[in-house]
Amino acid sequence: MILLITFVLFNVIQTQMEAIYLLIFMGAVVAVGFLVAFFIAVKNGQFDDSTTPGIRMLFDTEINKGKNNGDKKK
Amino acid sequence: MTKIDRFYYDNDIVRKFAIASIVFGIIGLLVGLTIAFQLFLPDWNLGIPWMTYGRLRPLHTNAAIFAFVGNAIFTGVYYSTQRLVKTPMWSKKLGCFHFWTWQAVILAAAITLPLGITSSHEYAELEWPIDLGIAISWIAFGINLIMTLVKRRESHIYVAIWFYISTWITITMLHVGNNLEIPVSMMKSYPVFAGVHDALIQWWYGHNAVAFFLTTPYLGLMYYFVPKAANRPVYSYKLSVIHFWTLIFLYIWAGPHHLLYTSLPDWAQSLGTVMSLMLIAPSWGGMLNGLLTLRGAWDKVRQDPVLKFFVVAITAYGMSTFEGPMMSIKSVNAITHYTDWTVAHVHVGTLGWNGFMTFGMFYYLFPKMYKTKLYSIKLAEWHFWLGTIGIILWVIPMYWAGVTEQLSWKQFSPDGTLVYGNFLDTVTQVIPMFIIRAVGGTLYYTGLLMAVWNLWKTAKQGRFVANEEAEAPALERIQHVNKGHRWIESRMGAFYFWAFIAVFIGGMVEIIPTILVKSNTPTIASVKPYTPLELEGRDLYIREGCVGCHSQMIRPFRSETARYGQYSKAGEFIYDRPFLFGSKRTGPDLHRIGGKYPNKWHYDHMFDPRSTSPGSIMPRYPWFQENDIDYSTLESKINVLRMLGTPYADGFEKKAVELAKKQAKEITANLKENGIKTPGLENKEIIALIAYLQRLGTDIGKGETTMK
Repeated sequence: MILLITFVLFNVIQTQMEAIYLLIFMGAVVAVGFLVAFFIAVKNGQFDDSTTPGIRMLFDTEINKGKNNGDKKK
Repeated sequence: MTKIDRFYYDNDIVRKFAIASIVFGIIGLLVGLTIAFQLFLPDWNLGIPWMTYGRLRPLHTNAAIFAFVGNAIFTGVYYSTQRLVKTPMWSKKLGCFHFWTWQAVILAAAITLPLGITSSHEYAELEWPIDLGIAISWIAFGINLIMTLVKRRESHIYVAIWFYISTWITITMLHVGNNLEIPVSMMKSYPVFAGVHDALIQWWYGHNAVAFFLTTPYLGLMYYFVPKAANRPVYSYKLSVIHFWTLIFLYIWAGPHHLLYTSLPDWAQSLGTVMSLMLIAPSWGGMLNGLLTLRGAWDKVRQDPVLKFFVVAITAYGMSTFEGPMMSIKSVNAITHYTDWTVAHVHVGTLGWNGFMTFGMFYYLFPKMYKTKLYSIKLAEWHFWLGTIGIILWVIPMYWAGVTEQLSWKQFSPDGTLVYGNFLDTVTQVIPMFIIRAVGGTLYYTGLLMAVWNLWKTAKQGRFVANEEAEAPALERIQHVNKGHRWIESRMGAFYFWAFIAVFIGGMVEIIPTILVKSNTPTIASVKPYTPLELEGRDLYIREGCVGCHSQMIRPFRSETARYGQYSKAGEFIYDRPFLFGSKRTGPDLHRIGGKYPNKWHYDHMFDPRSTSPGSIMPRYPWFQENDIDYSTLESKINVLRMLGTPYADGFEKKAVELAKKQAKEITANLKENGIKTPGLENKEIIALIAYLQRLGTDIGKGETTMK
């Protein structure tokens, strides 16, 4: 509906500011896209635990991370 | 029984991007320093066209944003993503492809921008072939990032990665949106949109480039490197999630704050203002989260230069994200717009937030990747203090200059005349501030060089681990529990692809009718397209980057109409491809320069600005008198412009060169009458430029539709 109206308007009026319809539309699409992504993430349990991720990222998974064992001057 | 996987994190790609970032930091910031000096030493271009301020400024901005910051972003994203999802990057080959294509783009920029090959859209100056290169490189990055997430061993996607994803999606859309252009030749194109239209697209892009290239990736990096460096969890993970979603919703709408008091409709301006003000909340959410992560760890900040850089960076982020919304208020914007205040605001963010986060990150990364300690903590501390003082000496003079400039422009004497009627008087007042700023920049740059030395010595004393062995449990894919996960994970690529297609289709539905429908009547009947000679002159104006110092948008203030003439109407710009509103008045606004000075004045002024205006800081342009006008693309230009909506008659392109030469002869004859008798002058570029300048703003004086 919105597309139809804007299409009609395009053919009738040229005021220089038509770009704003495009931008508002794209902004809305992006916003809705992110909103959908947000709901999907909630549904998949991404936000069920808001404590552990902050702590878990502190642990290194690297093996053999002996500090400074690369030092050439020994 | 959970399987423990063993795999290797790729540090090689991280190091590649890190070295590239540092190299281009050295170059890009040196260009910045050079143009800072040129503003009070206008002959510091050695008389070479590609060293003039107008051409070097975009080189500096592009190098700083895409080469220095861009490569730093990729460094941090490649390093942190692998470790956060406990999975190596999906494809080493694609990583290398991304790396080399990105550097190729930078190289292309370094060659084309000083040559004056530019679209003039700020931070999107690169012409169309390079835009295609950017797209290819960016898509390679996106595929690698997405597929790594698909293959991840950690089901929860840490907040930093959400920031990276939002960056990738939005920058893709912005790049396409602001580079819709029709080629005229291999190195020249015209944008699909014109005038006010074009301005809106550009600043929708420009502000979101700040949002999704300078902010969101760095917030992501902050959420990884600050906790890691301090060895403390993020202050509030919940807050990080909340402010992420809020930030990405609000940022897209802030663009109009670059166009306050211009011909943009009022309601759009107000929308931009409101959204920009609301942005304070999620931005400060990020700042507070970052700083409060250091609660109880301030003793570490005292000892560790990495954390020092992060603290100042995050503080600078908070400053910028408070100041920006303030500047989005119309009454404040009336004072800041076109002045050095805007430039100061930019550099709090870039020097403080982007620069210092980058330095902190490199000081953290190099010891880690080379399995050694930082070569010299003392030197890093020196860098920190030099850099911080450098930032202060950079921005404070520029704030002072900005306020001085605008208030001088606006000052009326009691009898109703402008106190500083000569624009030049407002410029000479701020030269001392330019000098102090250059000192600040030099200190900051010296700090950068210290970092380079320090990191180089760190690398030399260590042993680089190109592939770092790691182990983590494989992600269990239990059908009935994680059904939702599996659906998304196996289809993430498709999800992104179709989302992008949806946006793209939507965009095309809007764009194609706009292109195909020709204008019925111009908004102002007396506004006509540029003549062929004026068109060539306009493209010379674009080539030299005049838009970097001169605006073409007179605001509806009494001080501006008294100085420049009638304020600028939207309808006057309908044939302007690209728009040239400008962002800064280092020199006066030129929208109504047409007819104000005789041809001879322009001839002399371009050759040596100081001959007509003593004390001017504008560089010389003697090559305009030496170079012949290049008419080889004129026919193509007319064709493209007609296709985009400019009402040139059919067949006009065949007569264009002839008409241009005829107009050139008239101008040359006038110059001859005034004593300039150079043979062959009618073929020289200066004639085309004079034709363009003398046309500016004169259309509305001709018809009955003038608005007072």
